[in-house]
Amino acid sequence: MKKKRNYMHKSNWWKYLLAVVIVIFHVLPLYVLVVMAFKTKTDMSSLLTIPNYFYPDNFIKIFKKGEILNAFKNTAIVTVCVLFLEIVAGGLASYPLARNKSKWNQFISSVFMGIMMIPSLSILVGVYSLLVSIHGISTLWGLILVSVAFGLPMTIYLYTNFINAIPESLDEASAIDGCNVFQSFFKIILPQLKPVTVTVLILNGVGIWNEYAYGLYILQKPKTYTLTLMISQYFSTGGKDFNGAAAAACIAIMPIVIAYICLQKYFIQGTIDSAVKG
Amino acid sequence: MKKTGKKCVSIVACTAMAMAVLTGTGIGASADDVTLEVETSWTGEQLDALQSIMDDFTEESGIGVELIAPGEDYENVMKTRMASGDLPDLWETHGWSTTRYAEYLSTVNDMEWFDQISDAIKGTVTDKDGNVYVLPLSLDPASICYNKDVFEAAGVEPGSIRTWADFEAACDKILAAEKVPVYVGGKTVDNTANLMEVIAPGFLTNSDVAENQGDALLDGTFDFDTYWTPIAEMLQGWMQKGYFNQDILTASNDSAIQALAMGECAFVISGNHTIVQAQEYNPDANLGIMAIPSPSEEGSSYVSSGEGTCYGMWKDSEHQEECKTLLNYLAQPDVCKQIATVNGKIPGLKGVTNEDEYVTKEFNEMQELYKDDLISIQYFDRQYLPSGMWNDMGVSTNEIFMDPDGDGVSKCVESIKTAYTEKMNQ
Repeated sequence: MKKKRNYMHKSNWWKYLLAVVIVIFHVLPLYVLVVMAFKTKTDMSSLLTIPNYFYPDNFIKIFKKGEILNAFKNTAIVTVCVLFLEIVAGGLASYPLARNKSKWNQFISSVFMGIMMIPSLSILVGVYSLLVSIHGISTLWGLILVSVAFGLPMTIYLYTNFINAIPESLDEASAIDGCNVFQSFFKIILPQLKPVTVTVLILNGVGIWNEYAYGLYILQKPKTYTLTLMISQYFSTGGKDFNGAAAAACIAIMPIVIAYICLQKYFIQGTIDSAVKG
Repeated sequence: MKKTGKKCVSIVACTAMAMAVLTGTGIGASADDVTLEVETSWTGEQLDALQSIMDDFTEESGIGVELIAPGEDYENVMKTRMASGDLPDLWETHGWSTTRYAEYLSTVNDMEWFDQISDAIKGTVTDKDGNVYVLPLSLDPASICYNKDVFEAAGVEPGSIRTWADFEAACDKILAAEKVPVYVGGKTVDNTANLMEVIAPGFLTNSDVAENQGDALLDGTFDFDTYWTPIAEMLQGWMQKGYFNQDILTASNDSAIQALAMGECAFVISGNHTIVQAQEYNPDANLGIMAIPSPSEEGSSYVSSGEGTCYGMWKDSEHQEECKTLLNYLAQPDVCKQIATVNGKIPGLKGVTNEDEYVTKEFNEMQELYKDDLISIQYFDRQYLPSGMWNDMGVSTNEIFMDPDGDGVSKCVESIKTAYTEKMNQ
C-alpha cells in the first residue's frame, strides 16, 4: 500500500509542477501590481523587486482625490442594474423561446445568435448618436442600457438552452394547479435556473465590472466615471503613471476578489450544476 | 426568510436604479448656469493644473468649466464625437486645427489676441484661406533629445552634429562607450512614424533640398521608389550597425523615456516634452536638445514644429460668447505661460516667455549654438501628406526593423506608397 502511494506520487510529480506553474502564471501579475503600487515613479528597479522602503503615497493620493469612492459607487450601480435587468429580461424572453418552438421563435433565436456575432465597437457611432439623441451621454443609465443590450443575447442563449433541459411536465403540473404563465415562470421555472444564473452572474458580472470600451465614450463627465475609466486617467499621450495606476487597480479589484473568495463555493457549485444540467 | 431575501434584492435593485437616474440627470444644477464642456488630452498632474486654471476662470467670470479627459483615447473619442455631431464646446486640436477639425471650429480671426499669435506658430495654424481656428497657447518643437552625460562619457560634442554622417559618427562613439545610441519605443507606431517625420524633410522638402519634392507630395506625383528609399536605407543601415535598442519593436515609449532619463541611451528622437517626462523619472537627468541634422554638408540643420496646446471652439456650440470669454482668459500672458510650461512647451503668443524653464532654456541654447545653420519647418505629415498617413508612416517604417537584412526597405517603400496612393485617391 505504501509502495503504491509512493509510486502514485512519482508518476504525478508533473501534475504538481504544472499546478505550481499555473498558480505562478496567475499570481505573478497580481504580485507585480502590488509591488508597483508601493514603488515611487523614480524607482527603476525590476518589476519583480520588492522595494526596500515603505511608500504608501500612491494609495494616499487616490483617497485624497476622493474619486475612487464615486467610481466604486458608479461601477456598483452599473453592475447591479445590468445584471438585474439581464437576468429578469433574459429569463422572461427565454421561457417562451424554449417552450414554444415555432418557426417564428426559431427565427428570433437565430437573430439573437446573430447579434452575438456583431463586434460591439463596430456599431459605436450609431449607438453613440442614438444616445446623444435621447440625452444618454454622461449618464449611467446610458451605459446600463447599452450593456444590457449587448449582454442579453448571451443570457437568452444560456437560459433558453437551460430551460430546454427542464421537463415540460413541470409547467403542465403548475398549470393544472392553477398557475398562469407568469406564475409558472416565477414560481416553478426561475428557481430551477439558479445554476445558469450563477454562470450569467460570473460571466457578465466580471465583464461589466471591468467594462471600458463603451464606458469611455458614454461616460465622459468625471462624476460618472467607473473604476476602469478612473484608472485610465493615469495614462495620457503626455505621460503615464504606472505606479498610481497600479495602486488604483489594486483597490479596484479588491471587491471582486473578496466577493469571489467569499462566494467561491456557490460559484463552483453553480457552475458544476450548470454543466451537469446542460 | 426567502421573502425577506427577495425584498432585500428588490430594494437594492430599485435603489441602484434610482441612483443611476439621479446621477445621470444631474439634479441640483441650475438651468441658468452655463457650464462649458472642454475636452483635453491631459491627465494626472497636468490635468490638475488645468483644472486649477479653469477654477480661477469660473471664479472670475461665473462661467463653469467641465474638463473631459479621455486620456490616451482622446483621439478616438474625438473622432466618434465628430462622426456623431456631438462635440464639446472647446477642445484641444493636437496638431489638426486646420485639417481634421477646421470644418467643426469657429474662426478666431476677429479675437482680440489674434495679432498676438507668435510668428513661429502662425503659419502652422493658418489655413490656405488665411483663417485661424484655435488659440495657440504653445508650440511643440520636434527635435532630438539627448543625454549630456552620455555624450560626455562618449566624447561627443553636441554642436558638432550637423549632418547625418556626423550623427552616425557620434553613434559609433556612443556604441563604443557601451550605451544604446538611439532608443525607440516602437511598441506604438507613433515613435517609428516620428523617425520618418523628423528625417524626411531634410531629404525631401526643406528649402535647401536641391530636388525639392514638396509640390510632388502635394499633387500626388511623388516617386516613393526614388526618393523614399534613401531614407529607409539610412534607417536600415542604423539597424544593421546596432544603433537602435535591440527590442525596438516591442519597447514602450516609457522605456525610451526611462532609458534617456537614466543615461542608458544617448538619443530619443521626439518632441521637447520628452525632457519633462524623463525628469519625472530622474529629476537630476542632464538632458539637452539638438537640431535635426541635414543629409548633406551643404544643407542646414532644422527644427520641425507644430501645434502644442491649442484650443478651438465648436462652431455649433450654444455658448459662443462664453467660449470666447474663456479663450480670452486663456490668452492672458500669465495663463498662457502657465499652460505652456506645464507640459514643457514654448508659449505660442508674442511677448509671453518661459525662459526660466528647463526645456525652454535648453531649446534657446540649441538655437544659439546652431544660429547660422538652423531652419524652422512645420510638421512634415501635416503639411505634405494626406490626412491619416501618420499610422501608415509608422507601420511602413516597422517593415525595416522587422527585416533589416532582407526586403525591409522595399516593403517599407511599397507599404507607404500604397497607403499614400489610396489616401490621395479618396
